[in-house]
Parts: sequence; C-alpha cells; structure tokens
Amino acid sequence: MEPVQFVDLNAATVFLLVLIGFIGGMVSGFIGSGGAFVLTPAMMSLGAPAIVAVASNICHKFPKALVGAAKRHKYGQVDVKLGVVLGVFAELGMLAGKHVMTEIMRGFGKTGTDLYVSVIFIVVLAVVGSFVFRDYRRLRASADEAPAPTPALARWVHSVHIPGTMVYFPGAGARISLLFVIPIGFATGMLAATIAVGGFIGVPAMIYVLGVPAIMASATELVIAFIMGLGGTFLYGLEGVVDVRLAMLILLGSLFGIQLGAIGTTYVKDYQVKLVMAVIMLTVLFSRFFYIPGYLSKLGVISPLETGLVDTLKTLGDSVLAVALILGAVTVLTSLTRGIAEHKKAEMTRQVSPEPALVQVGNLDPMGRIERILLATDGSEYSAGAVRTAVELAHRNRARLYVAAVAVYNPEYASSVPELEQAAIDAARRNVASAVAEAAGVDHEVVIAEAEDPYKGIVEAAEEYRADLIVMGRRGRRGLARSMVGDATAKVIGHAPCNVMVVPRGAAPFSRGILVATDGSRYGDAAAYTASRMAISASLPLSVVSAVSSSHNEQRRREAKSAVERVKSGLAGQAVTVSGNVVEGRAEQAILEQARATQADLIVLGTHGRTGLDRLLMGSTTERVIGFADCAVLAVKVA
Amino acid sequence: MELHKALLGKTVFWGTITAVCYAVMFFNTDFILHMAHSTPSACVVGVGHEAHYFHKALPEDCAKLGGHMEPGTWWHVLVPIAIAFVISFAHGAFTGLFWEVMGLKPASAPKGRK
Repeated sequence: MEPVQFVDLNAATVFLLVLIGFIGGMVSGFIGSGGAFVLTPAMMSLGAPAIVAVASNICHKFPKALVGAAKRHKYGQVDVKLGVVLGVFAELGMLAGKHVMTEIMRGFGKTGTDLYVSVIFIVVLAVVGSFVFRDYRRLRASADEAPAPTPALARWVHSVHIPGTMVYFPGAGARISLLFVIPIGFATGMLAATIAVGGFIGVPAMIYVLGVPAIMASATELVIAFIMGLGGTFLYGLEGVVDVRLAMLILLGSLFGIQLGAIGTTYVKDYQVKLVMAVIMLTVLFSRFFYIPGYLSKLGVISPLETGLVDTLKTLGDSVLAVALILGAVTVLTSLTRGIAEHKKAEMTRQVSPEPALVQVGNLDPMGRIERILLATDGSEYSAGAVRTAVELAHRNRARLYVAAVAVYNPEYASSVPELEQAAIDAARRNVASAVAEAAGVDHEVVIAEAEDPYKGIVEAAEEYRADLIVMGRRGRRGLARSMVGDATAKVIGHAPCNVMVVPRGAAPFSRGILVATDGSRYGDAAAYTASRMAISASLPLSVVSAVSSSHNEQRRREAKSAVERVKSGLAGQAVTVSGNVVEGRAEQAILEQARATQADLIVLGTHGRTGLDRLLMGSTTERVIGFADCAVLAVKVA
Repeated sequence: MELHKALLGKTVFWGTITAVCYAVMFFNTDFILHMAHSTPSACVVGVGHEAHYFHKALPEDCAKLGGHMEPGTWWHVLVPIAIAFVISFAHGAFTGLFWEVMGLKPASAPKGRK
C-alpha cells in the first residue's frame, strides 16, 4: 500500500514553484533547452516524491511543445512525418526506459535508480557540454557562418537502400531506411524516460545521421516532445501521480521566463549563448559528482560514509546546482539590460543623424504629402501591381522609396536555431530583388523588417522610416472569399501610422482619373481632401460619389448631396475637372460602378482603421471595395 | 500608438482568461486531486481536502485505516490533460503579449541596406 502525497500548496510553496519555473524557463529560453534538469530536482526539494515531480514536469511540457510545434509548422520548419515516426518509437523507448528503471529499482532500490540517473546525466552532459563548448570556441574564433554541408554520415545513410524499409522524409530531402530512424526515436525516448531531456540525442542524431538541417531538426523535435509528453502524462496519470496544479504553477513562471530568455538571446552574440550553455551544463554535471559517494556507500560499493558527510556532500551538490541557476539567470538579465541600453543608444544616434535631403519641400500639409513611400512586397506575382505603382508614384513625387520585405521569424527560437533568422532574412532579400530592379530609376533603399507576423513587420517599418504611404498588393481570390481582404492587408490598414494603397496585381499605375467616396463624415472629408490634393498634383479628373440606400431618410440624402457639393466647391478655381454624383444602392457597389463609369483608376476612401470586432461591424465597405476593385484603392487613415 | 492600444486590449483579454483558468483550478483543488488520485483504484481515508489516498491498497488494510475503496476510472486521466491544454493555450497567448506591452522586444528592428 503506497500513500500518494502531493505537495501541500501554501503561499510560500506557490511562490517558490513560480520562481523556480521562471528561472528554469529563463535559462532554457536562453540556451534552448535544459528546463528539465532544473525543474525536476527543484520540485523534489520542495517535497514532491520523485515520480510526482517527473510526471508533473512532463505534464507541463507537452502542451508547450504543441504550441511551439504549431508555430514553427507555420514557418514550414516541421517535418511532421519524421516527427510522428520518431515520436511513436520514442514512446516505445520511453516504456523501455521506464522498464529499465523499474528493474533497477527492484534490484538495487531507490539508491540504485538515483545512481543510474546520475551516471547517465554525467555522461550525457559531459559529451553534449563539451560539444557545445567546442562550438563556442569555433564560433568565437571565426566569423564564417557558411551553411554546413550535409554531414558525411548522413550522405552515407541516404545512399543505403534496404528494400521494404525506405520512406521519403521531406526534412532530410531523401528516402531513408526506417532501420536508421527507429533506433534514433527509441534512444530519444529512453533518454527522456531517464533524465527527461530526450532532445540531447534526438536533435544531433537528426542533423548528423539523417541529414536534416538544424532548423528543421529542432522544430521536428517539438513534435517528438509533444507525442512523448502526451503519452507520458497519460501513463503517469493512469498511475495517479500527475499533480496538474504543480505542473501549471511551474508553467506560470516558466512561460514568462522562457520568453524573457529568448528575447535575451537577440541582444547577445551567438557564441555568448553557447558559452552560457556550456558553463551551465558543465556546472550541473559537476554538481552531480557530490551525490555519487553517498549512493555508492549506500549500495555497499565503497565503505560506508558517515551520514553527516553524505548530507554535507548533498548540500554542496544542491548549492552548486543553485549557483549554476543563479549564474544563468544573472547572465540573462545583465545581457538583456545591457543589450537594451546599447540598442536604445544606437537608435537615438540613428534618429538624430541628419536625413539626406530627398525631395524638395512640397506642400506642408501632412495629408497630401508623399515624400516617403514604403513598398511592401512578398516577391510574388500578387505584388507586381504594387511594385509598378509605387515606383511610378516615387518617380512622380520625387519621393524616397523604401522597398520592404518581411523576414518572418520567431525570436523565441533564436537560441536553439540561430540559422532560422538568417534563412528568413535571405528569403526576404530574394523577395525584394525584382522590386529593387524595377526601382533602379528612383531614390530607393531596401528594408528587411524582422517580425513574427508580416503585418507587424510592415507597420513597424512604416513607423521606423516615417512613411507617408504604404503601397502593397492584394492576394487574388475568387468568389465569396474575394469580398474579404486578406488578413495581413486588413491588419496593415488597421494598424498603419499612414495611408495605405492596395494595388491588385494586374493594375497599372493610375493615370486616367481618381474617384473619391464620401458620406459627409470626417472620414469622408479626409478622403476627399487627400483625393483633391492628389488630383491637383497629378492633373487628373476627380469624381466624387456618395451612396445612399433606399432605407435612408430625406435628411441623410441631403447630407450626401451636400457632401458632394462641398468637395466640388472646394476645388472651384483649381485646374481640375470635378464631377459629383449621389448614387442609390449598396455603398461598395455604387463606388465600383461609378469608378468604371468615370474610368477612374484610383479609388480613395476614408477609414477609421479599427481592427477586430469594430472592423467587422463598421469597416466592411472599405474592405469590400478593396476586395473587388480592379484598380488601386487608397485607404486614407483617420485616427 | 494605435498598435499599442490594440495590444494592451488583447493582453488584458488573455490575461483575464488566464487568471480565470487558474482561479477555477485552485477553487476546485479537491475535485482535481480526487480526479488525479482516482484514476487507478485507491483507498480513500477522510473527505474533502482532508482526504488521503493510498494506491495499490488491499481492502482489509484500507478498512483498518477507516477508509473505503474506490474503483479506478481510467478516463479521469483526461482531466489534467485537458487542464494543461486550456491553460497553456491562454497563458501562452498572454505572456507573448505581456512582454511586448512591457516594451521588451527582441532586437530585430528593421534593417536597412542601400
């Protein structure tokens, strides 16, 4: 009969668990892994039995792995097939690992398993720690970051053909015999069951044996971790030893810490991360040595030691572990604060540096000025119209053109896969290449914005370069989906600090006429004002349209008419042809029909730029016009 | 500025959901402990938060302790798994936004190149 006691949670233990989770998370976010060799011993020292600590640790890890795997799958870094195959065999490996532990427990008792775990820990940490240390020295010595060729062992594995066992794995880009894959999964699971860090085998094996690029290996490992974690939680749960409260408290601190650690890596050099990683691993390894004499003496391998001495050694070991953790935490925090301070200083210098005189000072009106244009391109055919229009606009206004592409990249994985960032930047550079070629005749600059989400990259670049206008493409859609603007476009319009021009791929730069829609509101007025300035500067005819529906009352109709008249009278005396109409029907239909009738090839609309629910309720006209128009649409932002 | 306001709103939204999840979990500690301990068959001694659970118990030993045997229900294992999924989803969304609102962003400002 075994009593199962979970940790008694009070204010102090809750605080300690969250704090341990935070420090463990911060260190593991910084060095890419290693939370496990911190969290499990810490939970045990708070009174959780070893099995409850291990089970609860696994329970907090699997949903985290799932979230991570889903995110990286979005960036195309996960080989799901390989992950699932390895995961399934890792599960078997875990069962075998557990069986070995149970057998050792039966033969030699708890001390036997403790010694076994410590020895495996020492061997694995010594091997991996020294590899990391070698990496650190190599990175520090050379600035050469050329991508590594496929390792020789992987090339050989790819060349082996064993009939009936060959499976194509996209991550490796080759057909590989399952006979090579299965042992890797099995070993990963066995190691995870023993020291809870299976990735120490899985990731290097995927890289060096299967020839999977480092970026994909670390992302695919998350799939394995999820499958193993879910299976582990299920098995331990059946034994009644998963304390989900403990797991969630650790998660509470760990999620805050892991992101802080990951952000920290973006402020330091790659070799510094590797150094911290090596130092922590080797210190944890060192701490394990203090426990071994105690285990050996209990097992009778060496002559019995005094209890006081064993306890002192254990305390020393615990202290070394604590020092390793605190050291890691302090390193992360100092590099973060120093990095942020330096970054801010650099930003200040950048902002006060005189801007080159780019264009003559045109009008002083912020609503009509186009001196800095940000062209957001993804290099696809859908951006073609935007590229043509932006280059032409820059030429016409003698404006500076910022040719921007977003390197979609999640900084959370910076520590484990520094290649990710470079790969995303390289892809973004390829995306701007054709636009840059077209922009040869105008004053331009390439901007590579790094962001987790494309819209954020565009908005941040527009803020950073103080763009007056963002020009971007629209994804081609058919049928019902066409009425909805792509999410990224809608978000850019919602969050942009300036006006946004959306250009369909086939559209030519506007040259025939401008149509502005107004309902007499301040949004309509702002659109009418901007459209008027553009019509004057480009000498193009301007049509004003205001739509009313059959449900509108007489007062609303009068307002619509006066809105049109206001624009017309405002332009009286200017060398611009103005026509105006109040049209009956649905707003977007009326605007699009009027644009065709007047041969306008630029539609100008005011937008409140709201997002989320507000956008759904109120911004649908702008969205539908952008979705259906065959010409460019300028969304004039009003705060 | 607008971006910041939208972020703040989202952060508060996910923060509230996360806090509610944790509150629900802790206000139902007894239920959760019961679910965790009753996946395998167990001997239960005492009630509510006073309850102690013994696994691999024989009915006669359990009776000596003044407890009663409860048969195991395997699907109770799904309770902690579901809790872990829900909390980590809400919490994951919250923490990412939290550091951004606090002004801590990765050093990845747009890079210019002529």
